[in-house]
This record gives sequence, structure tokens and C-alpha cells, in this order.
Amino acid sequence: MALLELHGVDAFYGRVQALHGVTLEVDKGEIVALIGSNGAGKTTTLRTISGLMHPAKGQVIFDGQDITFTDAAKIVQLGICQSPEGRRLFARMSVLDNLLMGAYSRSDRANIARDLKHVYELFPRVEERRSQIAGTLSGGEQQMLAMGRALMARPKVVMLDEPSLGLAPILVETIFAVIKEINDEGTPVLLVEQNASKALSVAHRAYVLETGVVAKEGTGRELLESEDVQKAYLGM
Amino acid sequence: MQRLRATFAGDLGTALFSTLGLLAVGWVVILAIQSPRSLIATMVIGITDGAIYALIALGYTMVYGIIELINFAHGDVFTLGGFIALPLFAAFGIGPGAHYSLVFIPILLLVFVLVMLINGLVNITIERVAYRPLRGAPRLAPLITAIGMAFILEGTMYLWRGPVNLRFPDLISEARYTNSLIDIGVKDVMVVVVAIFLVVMLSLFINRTKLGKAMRATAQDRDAAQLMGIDINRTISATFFIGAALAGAGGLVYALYFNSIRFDLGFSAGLVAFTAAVLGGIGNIEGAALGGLLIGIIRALVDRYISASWSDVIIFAILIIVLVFRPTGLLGMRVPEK
Amino acid sequence: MRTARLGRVAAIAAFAIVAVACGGGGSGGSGSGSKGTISIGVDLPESGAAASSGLPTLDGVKFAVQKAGGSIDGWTLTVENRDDAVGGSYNADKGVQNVTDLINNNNVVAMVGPFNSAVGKAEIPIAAPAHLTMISPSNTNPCLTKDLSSCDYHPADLRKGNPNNYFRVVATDDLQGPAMADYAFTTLGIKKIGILDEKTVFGVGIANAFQAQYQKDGGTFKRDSFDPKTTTDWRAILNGFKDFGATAIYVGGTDDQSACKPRGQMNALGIGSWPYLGGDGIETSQCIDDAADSANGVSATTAGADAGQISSAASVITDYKKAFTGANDYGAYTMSAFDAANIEIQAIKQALDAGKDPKKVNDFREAVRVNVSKTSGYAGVLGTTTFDANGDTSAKIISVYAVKKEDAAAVAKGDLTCGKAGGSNASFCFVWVKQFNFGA
Ligand SMILES: Nc1ncnc2c1ncn2[C@@H]1O[C@H](COP(=O)(O)OP(=O)(O)O)[C@@H](O)[C@H]1O
Ligand SMILES: [Mg+2]
Repeated sequence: MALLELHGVDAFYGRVQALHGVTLEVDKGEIVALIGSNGAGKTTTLRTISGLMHPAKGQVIFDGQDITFTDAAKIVQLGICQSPEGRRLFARMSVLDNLLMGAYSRSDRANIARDLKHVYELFPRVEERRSQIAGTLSGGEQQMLAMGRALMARPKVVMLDEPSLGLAPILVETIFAVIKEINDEGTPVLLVEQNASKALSVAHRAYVLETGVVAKEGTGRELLESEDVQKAYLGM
Repeated sequence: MQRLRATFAGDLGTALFSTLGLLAVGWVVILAIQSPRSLIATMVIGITDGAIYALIALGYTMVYGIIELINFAHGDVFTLGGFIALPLFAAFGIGPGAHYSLVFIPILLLVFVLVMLINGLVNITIERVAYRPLRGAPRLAPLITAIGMAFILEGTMYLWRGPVNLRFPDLISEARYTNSLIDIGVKDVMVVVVAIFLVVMLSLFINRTKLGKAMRATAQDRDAAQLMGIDINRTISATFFIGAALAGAGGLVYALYFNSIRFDLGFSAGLVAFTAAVLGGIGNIEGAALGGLLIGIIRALVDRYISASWSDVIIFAILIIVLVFRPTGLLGMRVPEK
Repeated sequence: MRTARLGRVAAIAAFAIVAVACGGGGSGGSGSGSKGTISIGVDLPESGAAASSGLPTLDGVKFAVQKAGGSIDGWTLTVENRDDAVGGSYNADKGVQNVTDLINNNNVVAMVGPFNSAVGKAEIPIAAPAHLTMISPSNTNPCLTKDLSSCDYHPADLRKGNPNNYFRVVATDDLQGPAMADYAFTTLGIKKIGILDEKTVFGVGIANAFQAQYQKDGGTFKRDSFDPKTTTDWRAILNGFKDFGATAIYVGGTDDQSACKPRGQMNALGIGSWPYLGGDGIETSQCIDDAADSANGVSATTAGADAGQISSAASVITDYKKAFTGANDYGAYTMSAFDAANIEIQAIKQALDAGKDPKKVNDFREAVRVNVSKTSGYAGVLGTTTFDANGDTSAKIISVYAVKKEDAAAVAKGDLTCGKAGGSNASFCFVWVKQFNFGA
């Protein structure tokens, strides 16, 4: 049994159905990419896992436990953490406070301090800016902070929603390097990206989502080489 | 074009603000020269009223900041503070006829704490039964519920104690310090000290404590807060608790200051305090305090030196000018991100 | 706009109803050889909370009929009574319905009522075309009879081209301000005053009337207005009056618009002993209550005479109380209603003496109306009544009441307006001090 599993998940916004029977899994040690065009349902999938919304049908299983209808705050405590699309920083709080909010569900002070140090090692820029107000950071710095904030929960799975969106190419490289590093340290990553080639090249496995349906799955390499995927998502 | 207009409005706004500010300062200087004693007396009235408005405005602004609800019942929550205090005083053997004595001070402090606590719990309950179930509903639904809640609270206080002016025990010394310039009472000092103390405590709480920060995080981005593992129901409850505790303290201060309270006091006080919150920038805590103080002072000055018939005209004209050039209020709006 | 003082008759409706049912003098017996029945119509608010206004007033009419022996020149005289209260308070539509009823009743030759000015405004247009005389014992709104610029309707429009059929035996509200101005300037010797209003038509109007007369008397004033919706603190305004050199305050307004809340804040400024004056809008329990620790020194006017203060009325009141024995049978307007009914009885008698036939109801009503309009020097209980062309009485009496601390027995009697029961000012009551007769 995988660490995180979705079984036949249907999700709605009011009457509009955004997910149709989505089934996917993320196992220990993996980077799993979720690709698809705008509006395909990638963010909705992550929101459903995080408990920000609940499926109308299907199940979400984490670590063998059914969390389909568990509260968002509880899910964080269980170990699923998300860096949401658009970063969603606490713009009027300092960088340090944002990071500490990431550790909100923890009370092990010594370890929090250690993790803070670790985040600063991953993102030296963030450390430089630690007393600055988050809203005043540049786009790249904000993305680093958002990822760092997610890591501060010391998650068992971290989900990143479009971390490279709107960043300069050099920063995209940095971000992907860090994603690999996080994974090398043992944290599984569920990576949502529109930058499919980048995502597929770091991912062990990947899913292609099309209008709420899982249209394809395979290893990162298989999908990179698939003709359909190349046409639709890699612009070849 | 948009940019150009914004800059233009910005410049014009700045120019207008500075001109108005300078005129106001000039006017106050003239008043000070004419009769410093009268000006000081008026400022004392303005600052004490403003401090009470501020204590109420904080609750409006905090609740709006976190769930974007104009909690119309908040003015009545303010009144409730005074109403709750009366039986508490009675339980300690202090009736309406009691007079100031040093031995009452510890009881007074205890009653303050209890009033804030009970008022906070009442407001948590209000949120739980009347607003939370409507959190996903269209905006209008909780708004109307809030208006309904205001009537329910007012009606309940009316049924509880009747239409009479409830006389408050005289627990604060009537002593005054008077010289050729200044005439200030212990009561005036009490109002200001309590207000400053509470605002400082509030600021420490929301900036330094984990729950306080979680409240700010929830106010800034509710989804993101949930993704941090913050239980937003808890932070929203905490917001209602604190808002009501401050308003309850305000109600008690008001009642001790004027020695009376009536079930419908919250209507006018709430209206003014809400205006103060918008003036300062809704959702902005410093803004609410500043707005309350400003409105208190402006009203007292206009009442005394121009005419009370102009007070509302001038206050709301200032509000409109501020909002036209700075739609987010003096210190900027603080509302949840979409 | 205040129209009638309900507070003075702090009565409990149920008692009043029972009292009338059991003890009240009815419309006497008729002689065996009666030529027929003539009725005086009555329209008053008589049920629910309004019963304390209407029933004692109705009894005043009944008492007049009783005193006339229940007949005039061989005609049986009765009271044809209607209640215009709906849900415990007066209702103009109900009043219109009642008057229509009375007009359709061929025995009814004139009426006493209504109690409330708003009802009068609705009824005059119905009664005027029928030439049915109305004498109100208690309407004080000047607009019903006077063509004032401050009115939003005018007497001629109400009458719709018919001759005047509406009269009243009480003075009008526009005299309240001037009466208090004279009282303040001359009786109390106040030369400088602060004048305050609460921005309502009534409040501004009465304050203006006060101001004009006070100025004429030679006083100086500082004027201010506040908005009750947004005002919680009046101290800055009061300090303005203090610095101006005022030694008293006149407030134009009603208690429900916070007219007495400034009073409650005066003690803290050391001016709690200043007289605090106003119209009948503050002659209420609420005002005494709002005055907090400065209830003493509040004074208010009301339009109309206080029958209890007129020596010539004493014996009539004593007689009345023998006939109507209920604790709440006597009200502030009982004697007004008594005078009003007697003026109508006199007019009916004159019509009969002139050979008019009550069976020709339209002619007879018109004869009564003409006779009433010619009423001159009629010596009633409350004074001498001469109606002017507008239908107003020459006995323009305004009474002044001041708040004093009363003993429990006086409070319990229930005929004074006192602070709210259970409130801390429950023993402070408005007590009659003086009356002004503008007709003199
Ligand atoms: N808040 C919302 N209300 C209604 N529909 C929404 C909302 N958010 C997303 N959707 C719809 O759900 C579908 C999936 O959206 P989303 O999960 O955001 O796509 P992606 O992240 O893949 O771009 C889209 O059709 C989108 O229009
Ligand atoms: Mg998305």
C-alpha cells in the first residue's frame, strides 16, 4: 500500500464537476508529477487531498488511514503539507513569522529551530530576508519562502502547486534543484506543474490530467517520450 | 491610463490631506491661544469618548478582518458589558448607591476580568450559532443574521432590565486635578489608561503569541492558514472572544464613567465606532484605534467650537474625502486575500 | 409631534374597563314621553394600552350627559361611543371608519373627539362635508386649526371647502415654547440660556418658538442641535453653553430622541442644578429617568389646563368622582371632555329652542355646528371658552410642571408622571407649578 492514495475521487465546485474518478498514488521516496493544461483539475486534486474541499465520491487514504473527510488542520498534523498555487504567503507578516506559521502544528521547539536552520540552508536568500515583510519579497524569494514554509511542518508528503510559475529560468533551475534535494532527504513530493518537461525529468512517476480525468500515467521518462504528451504538453 | 489616474488621485489626495490637516492644526492652535483651558477641557472629552469608540471599533475591525462580516450586533455586545457588570457588582455587595472607596479596587479589577470573559463567551456563542453555519452562504445572509442578532441582544437586555437607565455604582473617584489650565478627573484618566492598556495588550497578543499570529494568518488568507494546520474555527472564535472582551471592557468603562447605561446605548455608539473602523481602514487594528480617537476628538471640537448640528456633517465629510482618495482608509484596509 | 399627554393618566387599562362597566354613569333614563333620541358621538382610543387615555375622557362626556339629566327638552340624550384604538394604540383609519359610522347614524348630531391629532387630521375631511361638529378635548397639533408655514397640511384643505366643523377646548402646541420662554425669563429670572434641539420637526419647531419669545422678552441665547442617532456625549455642547454664560437649558424635543440624555451628563460638569426646560415631549417618565442624578430642576410645559389646579373645577371634580368611583376613572382630559360635551349640549338646546327638528338630521347638524362656532364666553370648568374662526379656544392655557421628589403615597396615587417604577428616579415626579393663559 502506497503512502498516499486517491481512489475514484469526484470533486465539485457547486454544480461544476472538476474531478472525475481521479485515482493516483504517491509512495515513500517518490517524486510524482501531476501535469495537465490550465483548468485540468490539478489544484483541485491537491485541495481535495489537503482537506480544503471534500470529494463527493471516492476516497483519500494516507498512511493507511481514511482522510477523505478529515479537517484540513488535522491533515497537516498527520503530515501532508502543501505549498499552494500562487504561494499564498501571509503578506503582512515577516518572513520568519511565515516560516513559524508553517510549523504551527508542531510544538517541538528544538526541532523547529533545527528545521528553520535547514530551510535557511536550502534557501540562503530567505535567511537574508528573514525580518522583512513577506509581501515585499520578489517573486522568486516568495516561492522559496512558500516552499520553506511547507517544509517547516516536517511533512511526510509535500505537495507543490506550480512552484516554477512566473519565475526566471535561472530561478526555475534553483527551485527544481531544491525539489530534488528535498526528495533526496527522504520526503516524497507530489509536484503539480505546467512546465511539463522540467517536471517529468525530475519525477519518478507522473500522471496526466485532462479535464478532471487521469488520461495517462507512467514513469517520468515514459511520459517524456510519449508522443501524445510531447504534442500536448511539451510543444513538440 | 489607470496608473496615471491613480497617481493623479494620489497627488491630489496628498495635497488635499495636507491642506486639510494644516487647516485643522492651525484652527486648533488658534483655539489654544484663545482659551487653552477650554481647548484642553474639550480635548479631554474628545479623547475619553474616542478611547471608548476605539475599544468598540477594534471588535468591528477584527471580525471584519477575519470573516469580512460587519457584525452589527457588536454595538450591543458593548452595552452587554455594562449589563453583565451590574449583577457581578451586586454579588460583591456593591449596589447602585455605592461610592468610591479604595477597598473596591480589587473587586473592580476582578469584575473587569469577569465581564471581559463572560462577554467574550457570549460572543463566541453568537458566532457559533448565528454566523458559522452561514459561513459558506451568500454575503447577505450573515449580514442579516448580524442585524437580527443586534435586535435580539437589545431586546434581551430590554426584557432583562427594562427601559430604565441603569444607575451604576460610583466606583471611580470623582476627584479632579484642577489648575488655571487643566481640569481633569480621575475618571478621565481611568478611561484613557484602561484603553491604552487594553490596546497594548491586544497588540502584544496578536503580534507575539502563537494564537495571535494564527489569527492574523487566518485574517490574511484563510486557506493558507488551514494549510499551516491552523484550526480556523478556533482563530475565528478567538477573534470574536477578544473583540467582545474589549467591547465589554468598553461598556463597563462607559458605565463607570457616565454612571449609567441603557439597553439601547449600543445603537449610536456602535454606529460611530463602525465609522471609526472604516475611517482607520477596516480590518486594521491600529486604524480602528486611530479612527476612534480621531472621531472622538473631531466631534468634541466641532460640538464645542462650531455647532453640534455640524458634527455629523463634518465627520462624514472627512470620512468621504478619506475614502475617495484612500478607499482603504487612513492606515489601509486589512481584509482576507481572495 | 406630540399630541396628547398619555403619561399623566398612568392607569391600568383593565381596571378602567371594569370600572366603566360596573360603576360608570351611563346615559341616564329617558322620560316616558320622549320625543326621540339625540346622541352625542364619541371617538377615542379606548382599548389596550390606550384605554388609560380614552376611557376617563369618555367618562367626561358621560358625566355631562348625566348632569343634563339624560335629556334635552323632552328628547332623550345618549352617548354613541366608538373606539379608535387598534392593537392598543390610536389608529386613524379606524377613526375614519368610526366617524363614517356616526355620520350614518341619524341620531348623532355632534361628536366629541378624537383624542389624537393624527386621527383628527384623518377625520375632519369625512366629518366636514356632513357638517358634523367635532370638539376635541385633547388635540394640540396647531396644524389642525392654524395655517402655519411649519405645517405639512392646512385646515382649509382638510375641510374641503366646507364650513369649519372642528373645534378644540385645549391650547395648541405652538404656545408651549412661548409659555416656557416667559416662565424662564420672568419667573425664573434666566437672562442667558442654551437652546438645544434634536433635529426633528417637532423639536426644532418648539425650540424656534421658545427662542423667538425668549428673545422678545430680552434674553440672549446660544443655539445648538444634535443628532440622536450618533450622539453619545453632550458634554462638549454643554461646555459651550457654560462658556457662553448660560444658566439654564431649553431643549426642544422628545425623550425618545434623547432629549433628556444631555441632562444626565450635566452633573459631571457641575451644572446639574441648572433648570432644564422643555415641552410636553419631555414631560415623561423616560425623561426623569434619563436625567439621572439631575432630575430635580427639569421642567416641562403641556398644552391645556390642569383641572386639579383650578379652584372653580374642584366641586365638579368632587361630584364626578362620586359618580365615577374607579381609581382610574379620572384622567387629564376628563374635564376637557366634560366642557366639550356641555358646549355641544348647549348648542343642541339652542337649536331645539330655535325650532329646529332633530329628525331632519342634516339641518339639525348644521344648526348645532353654527351654534358651536358662535360659542362665546362659555363658562366651563376649565375656563371661559370663546371659539375663534379657526375653531380654537380663547382659553389658551399652558401648564408648567417641574420635577420634584415626591413621597411614596403621592407616587402610588398614579396621577403624576414619575420616574419609571424600579428605576432609581421612581420617586421624582412632574408637579404642577404654574399656568399661562395666552387668551387673556
Ligand atoms: N473556486 C472555483 N469555483 C468554481 N470552479 C472552479 C473553482 N476553482 C476551479 N474551478 C474549476 O475547476 C476546474 C479545475 O480547476 P483547477 O483545479 O484550478 O485546475 P488546474 O489547477 O489544473 O489549472 C476548472 O474548470 C476551473 O474552472
Ligand atoms: Mg492550478
